[in-house]
Amino acid sequence: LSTVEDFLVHDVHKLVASAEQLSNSDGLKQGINQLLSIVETCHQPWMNGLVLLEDREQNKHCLSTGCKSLDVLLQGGLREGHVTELVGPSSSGKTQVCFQVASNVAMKLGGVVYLDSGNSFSPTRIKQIVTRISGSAENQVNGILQQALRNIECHAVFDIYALLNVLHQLQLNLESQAGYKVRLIIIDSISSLIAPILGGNNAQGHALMVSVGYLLKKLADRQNIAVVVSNLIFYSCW
Amino acid sequence: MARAWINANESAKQMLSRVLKERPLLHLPPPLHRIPLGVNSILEIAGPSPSAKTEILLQVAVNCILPKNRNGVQYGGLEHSVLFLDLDCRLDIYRLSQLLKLRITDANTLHKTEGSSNQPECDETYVFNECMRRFLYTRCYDSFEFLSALKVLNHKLTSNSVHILMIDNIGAFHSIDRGFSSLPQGNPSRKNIGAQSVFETVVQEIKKLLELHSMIVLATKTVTYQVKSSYSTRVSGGLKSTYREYMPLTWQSFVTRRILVRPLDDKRKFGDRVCYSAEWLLPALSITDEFAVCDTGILDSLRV
Repeated sequence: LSTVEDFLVHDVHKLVASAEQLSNSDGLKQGINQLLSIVETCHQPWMNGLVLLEDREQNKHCLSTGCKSLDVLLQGGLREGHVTELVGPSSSGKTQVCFQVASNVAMKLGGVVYLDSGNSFSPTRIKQIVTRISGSAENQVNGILQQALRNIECHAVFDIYALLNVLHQLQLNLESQAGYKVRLIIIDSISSLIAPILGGNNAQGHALMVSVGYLLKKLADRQNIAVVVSNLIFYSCW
Repeated sequence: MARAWINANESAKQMLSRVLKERPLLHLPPPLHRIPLGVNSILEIAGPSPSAKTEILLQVAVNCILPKNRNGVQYGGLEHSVLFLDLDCRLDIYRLSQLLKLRITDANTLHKTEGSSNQPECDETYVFNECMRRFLYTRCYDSFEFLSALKVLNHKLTSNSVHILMIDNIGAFHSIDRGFSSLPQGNPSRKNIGAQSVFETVVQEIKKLLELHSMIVLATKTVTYQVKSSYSTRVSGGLKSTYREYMPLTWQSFVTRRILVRPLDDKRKFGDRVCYSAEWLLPALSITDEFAVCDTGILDSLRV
């Protein structure tokens, strides 16, 4: 047995049974107990329903999108800890919704990470939206606009590996830097990153897609972030 | 001496009554109601996504964590604890609490209308808290964590009561394990970590758990549909859609019961709600049940 993985795959009980047969097995037994306690830290702790509910109420708030009808549709807004998918055919307003949500959260709530796969991020458009939301005149909005734009971290990602890189780096930064806090992650659009790797007999493409999904869910749940991904679909005519 | 060994110990009838008393069968809510489950059963709920599989698990969970009765109010539960291993990582605990609250309120309203003494309101909160404490939950983000959780569970469970182990989406990490299996090691005595060995260990660990504790395992499995149209089906009219079985043989032969659920297009029976059909594959029954999901839980076609 050389790695923890090996330990997990092999049978502990046989090990314990064989340990009991040896006469000077105390050290081995201690070692096994220590290993078991390490293994216990390898997975998420068991929580009961009450603890989960409390966590949901205290940590997983709803982020308002800034648009009342969208908020009603989402039953309060974008919930932290969840991955929300915006689905629609081409030119149905997905990117505009992403801008709206990014502006609203950046102005009022905190940090936004915007991952742009199609070079569609436009600071001018953000300025227009921020001006409208704040309700002040165009020449007085500068302070609020500066703050909002400073809260939006925009990354251009053009393939799945770049996306995984950015997300892993984000995870590291959130875990190591105490003051760094992100409220919202937007990926526009995730379909253009995933579609090229799917298809054919290649199992890796599918595995990569599923890994991205899990990484997003992990970030959302453990760091209390709301994740929004936009996805392109085609309506069939028959 | 040899003759004594061959002589019968008890008749079949005596054995049946003894086994049923020691290991009572679990009667599950619809759509799982047709086949009662005994202890040490492994039930697999297969279906495409979405087909109310997690909803079925939550319904069973509510039935299990409710007490039989408290302060004279009949809740009709089983008072077992539920261990929920969320491999899909998408359970919303709010839905469980909603279902539980509605069940508790209904039971209390029924009790009050039957004219007994008035119960104070705080009882409902107390029962709710007690039930939620019986629901234990953890998430696993990859098969490594899944194996860790199973390995440690054996040492963690101490009580002698029956536990229900629920695994939401046993096939969750299958594509990851298949796509990224570790490189073959030079040393032949080390096991290769791939989908096959992960499931062999999973089955082994669950078997150990079943040996030491009374447990029933319910696992959901997401399947994809393949529409097979062969010449014979085209002649007979209609396409026969079957699902592709991707789990390794160790898991397939470990499962003792299997039910398939899928969404239906027909909305006539349940108003405007989405309908699902449930079909038992193991043991194979020819009856298909239909059900829908509403705010209060699962609606059977009999109860509508």
